[in-house]
Amino acid sequence: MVMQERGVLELNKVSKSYGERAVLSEVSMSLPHNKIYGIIGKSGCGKTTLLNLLIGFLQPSRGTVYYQGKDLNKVSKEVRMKFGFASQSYSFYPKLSVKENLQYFGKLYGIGKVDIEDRTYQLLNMLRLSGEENTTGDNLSSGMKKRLDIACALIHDPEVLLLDEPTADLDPALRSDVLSAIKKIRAAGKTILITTHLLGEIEILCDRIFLLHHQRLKDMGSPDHFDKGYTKEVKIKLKSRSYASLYSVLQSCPVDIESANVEDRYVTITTKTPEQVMQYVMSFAQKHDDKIEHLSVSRPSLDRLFMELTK
Amino acid sequence: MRSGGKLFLNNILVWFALIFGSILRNINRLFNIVIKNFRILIRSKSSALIIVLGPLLIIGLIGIAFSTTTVHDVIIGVHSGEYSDLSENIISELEDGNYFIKKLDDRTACIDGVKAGDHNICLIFSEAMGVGGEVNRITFHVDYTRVNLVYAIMDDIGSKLAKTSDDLSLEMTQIIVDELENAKGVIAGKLSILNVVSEDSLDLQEKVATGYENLSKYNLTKDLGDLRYNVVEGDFDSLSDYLNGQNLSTARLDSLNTSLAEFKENLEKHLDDTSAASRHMDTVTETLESLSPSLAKNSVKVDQVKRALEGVLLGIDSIEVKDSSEIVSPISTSVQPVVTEDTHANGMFPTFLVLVLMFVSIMLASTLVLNEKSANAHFRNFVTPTNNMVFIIGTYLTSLIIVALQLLVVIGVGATFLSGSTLGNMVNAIYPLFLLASLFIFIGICVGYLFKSSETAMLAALFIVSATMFFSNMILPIESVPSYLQGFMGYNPFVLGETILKKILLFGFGLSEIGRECGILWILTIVFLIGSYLSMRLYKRGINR
Repeated sequence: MVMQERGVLELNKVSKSYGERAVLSEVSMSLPHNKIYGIIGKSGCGKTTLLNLLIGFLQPSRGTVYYQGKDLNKVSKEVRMKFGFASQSYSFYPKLSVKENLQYFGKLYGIGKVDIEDRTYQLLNMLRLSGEENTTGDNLSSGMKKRLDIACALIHDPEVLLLDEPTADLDPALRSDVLSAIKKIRAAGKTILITTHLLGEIEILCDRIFLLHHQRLKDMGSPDHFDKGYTKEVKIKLKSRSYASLYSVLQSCPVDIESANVEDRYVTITTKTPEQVMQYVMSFAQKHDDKIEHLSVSRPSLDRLFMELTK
Repeated sequence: MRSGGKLFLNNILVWFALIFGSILRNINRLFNIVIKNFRILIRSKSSALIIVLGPLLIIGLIGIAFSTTTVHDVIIGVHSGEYSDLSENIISELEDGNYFIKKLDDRTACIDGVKAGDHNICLIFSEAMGVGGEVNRITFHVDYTRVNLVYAIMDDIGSKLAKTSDDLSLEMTQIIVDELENAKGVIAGKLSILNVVSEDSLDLQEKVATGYENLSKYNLTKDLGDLRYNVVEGDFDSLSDYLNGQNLSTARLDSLNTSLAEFKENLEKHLDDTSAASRHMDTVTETLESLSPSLAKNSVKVDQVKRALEGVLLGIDSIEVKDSSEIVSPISTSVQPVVTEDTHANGMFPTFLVLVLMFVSIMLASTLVLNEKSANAHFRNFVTPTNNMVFIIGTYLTSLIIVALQLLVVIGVGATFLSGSTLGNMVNAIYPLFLLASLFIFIGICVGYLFKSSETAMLAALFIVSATMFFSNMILPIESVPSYLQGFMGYNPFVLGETILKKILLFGFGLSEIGRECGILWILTIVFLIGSYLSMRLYKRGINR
């Protein structure tokens, strides 16, 4: 893959292996500032390893990770201040309160007491944890725990936030909570890198997606790129009184239809030319004085695309 | 040049500011870590319970268990083919010494009882023990697997039996001494008789000599010739012839002749008697002659006997010790402790202190590290710009503070059964206690980081604690292990700590006198500090995989 624009973070042919076992192979990417990036891929494809390389927890076996043009391995540990990281599991002390956790990690980052107080106040508000300052970590709900984890990652006001599976194991309501928190963080001008299995979120959140497969970067681009580049078929589902006639007509219609089937008075049409099919269906209804009772058009989800891409 | 110097000075100042700033930041981080550790420990009820109550419980138990100097509830199995007064006396003596006595009819049952743990020791008394008995023997059958108990019981029973044995010896020796005194009196009494005999003998010898000498002067072997009887007879014949010439009556002459003849006869008879007397005198003289050397010999022999008896008397007199107790135990031994041991706990307090310190420090430090490792938050710690050493020192300081508090509690509780001198020397013990705590904490940190699971780490910690205990005086004396191991054991932190604290607390040594041991502790502490750092690096490398 060719890097198209210079980013705050850049990976140049980065590989990581443990002995003979390669977990990441020649990955190159560029992450410009103030965007949300999604890394998708099957389990074990190297997503978490990639994040660990970015935060400097791991050293690449080959290749270089650059932060603002500087080799991350050669810059001082203070540069780590620019990174915030929230791992899959909650990286805070459950026996400490929300405020104590934030203060503890703030001090480890060398932030002054007053700054920690200010930052804590901001984060509690931004991540909707106000009122829970004195609640210990183990007494928080799952969503709150995740938000506290993200707050801990943001306490030192990093430029880059790395989130490893931020919505894993959360119910839809809590997931929505976390996603809105991430949006707020992006709005605060941060660069965010997310790994997740839940591709629907990636679609909603991310400006750019990186697809890792077999330890390599298989593709990257905007959600639209994935949508248009890979989406070939659209599913049209409709319900009408003359559904049986419509179904039989569709079998020999002149427009390009991949498949059509009928089930419970619903006709489902799969096509690569949805506009033509819609026109044909509408004219058929008009001609037969029929009324379309239900109509829905759906593109295949990123999940399905992901399955296809990683076959 | 001036501007160059200024620049150099500025650089130095900047460096100092940076270093000072870095130290300050790290101190802040250190306090932050320590406070966090304490918050977590306090809020985790089980941890707080173990950390606060654990040592209290240990020291309390130690205080109760070892607050005496004797052994209790010891059962002694005894057996004898025939109990005598002496064996019964010994048994009652043991019963008075708070031992439970179990008389067994069978020797095997007595020995097997020790194996089965029915009684702690088996004493087999020889049959009909007593003064003048053929074999007065008591055989101990002990279970050496319970070494300390065996030594304690044997020591106590041995001392009781030794007392009985001494009493018997004393009694018998007294009889001998009395007999000697009696003999001395008798000999002294008879010596005066011997003196009289000797003197009489000498006197007799003199008298015999005198008698012999006097008798020798007499010559009784005379004949008529010696008495010039011929002359008398011739003169008488002449006289007779003359008288015949004078015409004297023949009757008168005859009468004269008869008288002369009678005289001659009487004289001859007398001479015969004298001759017999002479012969007898010769015999007496001979006897006297032979008696004299015999008497002289007797006198010599009497003198010899006398000198011998005088020698015996001198010998008896020369015996300086006539007190039977001194003869029985010419060398009296008494064991005096170098310190006044009020209770076992007092004497063993240094050992307990090191034991508690070692257990708590290793377990606590390893537990803190394991808790940290098991908390997902440690991952975030590692991605902060905080030096690894700050985390290690943070764990060390947390452990040190807790250990110090626990030691205060232990010493406070210990004060109830410790002597004043032991507590008085405690100030000098602070420095080695600090060193020991540091060393054990770093060992605990190493264990915590080197082992992946808490189970294996706990096992390793227990193994280390056990190994240090086994290779110390705790179970068997160091002197009982092979000499090639003894040198190694000298570097055992437990042994070092025990030695140092005994010297300070019990014998009142100063810090200057434990310099060598403290030096070794310093070296070990630094080694394990480096070890802690390396094991943390190793652990981080492990989680990176």
